[in-house]
Amino acid sequence: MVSATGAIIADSVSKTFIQPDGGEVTALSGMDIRIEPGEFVCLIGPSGCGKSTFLRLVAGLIQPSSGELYLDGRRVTGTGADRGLVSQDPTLFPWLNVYNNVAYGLKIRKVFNERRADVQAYIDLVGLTGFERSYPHQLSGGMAQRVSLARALVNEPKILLLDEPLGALDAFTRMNMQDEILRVWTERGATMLMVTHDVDEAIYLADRVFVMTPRPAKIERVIPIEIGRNPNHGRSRDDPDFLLMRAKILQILNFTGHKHALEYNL
Amino acid sequence: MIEAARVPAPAPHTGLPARLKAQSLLPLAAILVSFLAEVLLPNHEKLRNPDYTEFRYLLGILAAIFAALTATALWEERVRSASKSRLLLTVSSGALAALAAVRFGQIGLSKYAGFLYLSAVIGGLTFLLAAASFFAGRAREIAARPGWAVVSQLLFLLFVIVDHQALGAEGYAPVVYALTVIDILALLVGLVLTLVKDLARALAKRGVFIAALILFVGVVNVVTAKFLLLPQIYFPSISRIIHVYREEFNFLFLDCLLSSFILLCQGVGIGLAAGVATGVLVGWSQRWNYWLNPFVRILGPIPTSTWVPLAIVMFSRPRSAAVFVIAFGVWFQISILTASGIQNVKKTYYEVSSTLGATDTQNLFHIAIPDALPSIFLGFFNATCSSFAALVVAEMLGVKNGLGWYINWQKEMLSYPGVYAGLFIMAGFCYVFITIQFKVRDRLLSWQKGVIKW
Ligand SMILES: Nc1ncnc2c1ncn2[C@@H]1O[C@H](COP(=O)(O)OP(=O)(O)OP(=O)(O)O)[C@@H](O)[C@H]1O
Ligand SMILES: [Mg+2]
Repeated sequence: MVSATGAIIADSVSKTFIQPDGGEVTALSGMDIRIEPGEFVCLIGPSGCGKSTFLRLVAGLIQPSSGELYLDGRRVTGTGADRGLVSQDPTLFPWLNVYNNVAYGLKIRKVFNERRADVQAYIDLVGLTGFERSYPHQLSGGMAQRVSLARALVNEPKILLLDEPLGALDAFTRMNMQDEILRVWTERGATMLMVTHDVDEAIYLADRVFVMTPRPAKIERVIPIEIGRNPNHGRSRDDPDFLLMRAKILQILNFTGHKHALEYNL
Repeated sequence: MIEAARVPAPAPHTGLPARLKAQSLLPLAAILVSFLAEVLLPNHEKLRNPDYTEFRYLLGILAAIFAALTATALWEERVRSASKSRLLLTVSSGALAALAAVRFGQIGLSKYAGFLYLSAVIGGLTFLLAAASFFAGRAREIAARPGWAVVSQLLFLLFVIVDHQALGAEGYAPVVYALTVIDILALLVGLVLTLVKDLARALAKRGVFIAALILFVGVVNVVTAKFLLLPQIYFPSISRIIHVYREEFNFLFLDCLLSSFILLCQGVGIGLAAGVATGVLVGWSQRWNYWLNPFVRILGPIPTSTWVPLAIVMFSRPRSAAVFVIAFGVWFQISILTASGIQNVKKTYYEVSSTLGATDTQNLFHIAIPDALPSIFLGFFNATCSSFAALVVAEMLGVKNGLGWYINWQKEMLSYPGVYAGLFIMAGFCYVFITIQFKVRDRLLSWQKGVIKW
């Protein structure tokens, strides 16, 4: 299950944005992170603390203001197909239908002919069979989000950066998709770095949960989830350990400041 | 304009509602009234020598067409859309294209031989495909697409034109005449059979408008030909205008229309290519933007006609000068809108594309250009509209040919029937040009349906 590549190391990474009016916003200050290859990590933290910013840094879309970011020992200098990003809002290409949106990465990397079958497989996986020819504007928000997930998955990157990928889904579809994500992860052994606002989701999925402080953000606490997984799906949600872990994380989150406690989708 | 691009809804199997059926009768009634007025009233005495009565023939042709359409509209549920006719059409034109090519091959025009043989091969292939379509299912599907008929028709037209231009009148051997007649008949039969239902529906919906239009023309006829209420130099009778078509058919259609068409295609084609290239460079690359943008900004807005004196000096041949004048206006409009289209592509599209492994160049071709396409098309549309104006200017540059030139020439000779005859061809020509453009847009940009107001 653990693959040899896909390690992420952040060495006191900071990111300061300069706003048009000259003011500065420090989103991240001194993030130290070590993620093992093939690990499933969930990031939890108050809204606006810098979770998306961190994912964008790892994806190579923006550069840190200071500090270093390494992938498998090499510094991150730009984007690459080895890191797939599912961004917070599903940015589908409106001129391509669902099928071609999902196939986009394969076509770009010129492996579409060999891997044609996978496109359909991942569309089926996210439950959009029959919508291959629909255009993005014909989809609901949750459907679009699933297309965006399939589009990243089909590329089979070493590292998957998921920014609230299940945010717009109903509880039932959400649980289904969680199991599918777990399955893809088990089968492919990619490193997963997922942002979520849902504590249950984090505990259900992750090997470790990173709790972030409010802006300027760094890692407040790293919580290993040492509850055994069932073979075919994730952890049992009514396990006493699960509930205990939930209470513990909620308590830590509360410590990060009362005024932020309201911003979680609990 | 947008309205014209709308595709008619697929026809349900029940017949038309009674109100529409009644409407489709109106044009016939209008034709009858106009015809009676034309026949019962004699021409004004000043207009009897010569006594033009061509308006009757026009009404007769219209009556035949509208009778067929009205009948279809009235008994719509009994008429079957014929897809076999498309096959027939493809077969006939494919075969004709091949035959024509062989004929030209035989003549052995050294200058065109290569081109003609190549065309013979294409025509032959079209024919084989069409022939195969009677047996194999897949080929049938392909051959039934109207695109094939259009392609083989264009090919055939090309032969006739090349023949005409290379050999002049002697080139029109009876074989070609016969082939042309057969081809046109096949085309008409095919078109009528395929389109008759759609046309009948369109007629039924627009029946009131068409009837009013015909009545208006009928009244104009009475005013100009029967009572001579308007000065006859500027307002010739309709029969006299039609008479111009009869007399100058070859010159108007084979020389002027063809020349204008080729000139416009050259100008718009060159302008389009240059405009898209400039727009993409300016919109995409900072460095090109730095060097090109000032030129686009400064040179672009100069009105087309201002370039005429310069164009004459810059080009030794008037024809090249004319192409330049048209291409220039097109270039400007398209480059401006292409550049702004590319600059307005959402950054997040590039980001997603990059994280999926795209390089910068791939981002240009797979993200920037597709996303800017609606804007490019808008530029193209504006450009073609203004290129019609440029055409008239360009044709005054000593290219003694073309519709614009013809209209001007006739005006100077105070021969207004010719002016009107030219104007009508021009209007039809522009209409067809723009309609084709809309069809292309509908195809390429169908993803936009539902995103913008279509
Ligand atoms: N391009 C930018 N320019 C200026 N400020 C930015 C930019 N991107 C993010 N920020 C700021 O950085 C901070 C962190 O933003 P980020 O999107 O990473 O938050 P987040 O943790 O993902 O929040 P949420 O949970 O609401 O998605 C915010 O205060 C935001 O205003
Ligand atoms: Mg975010």
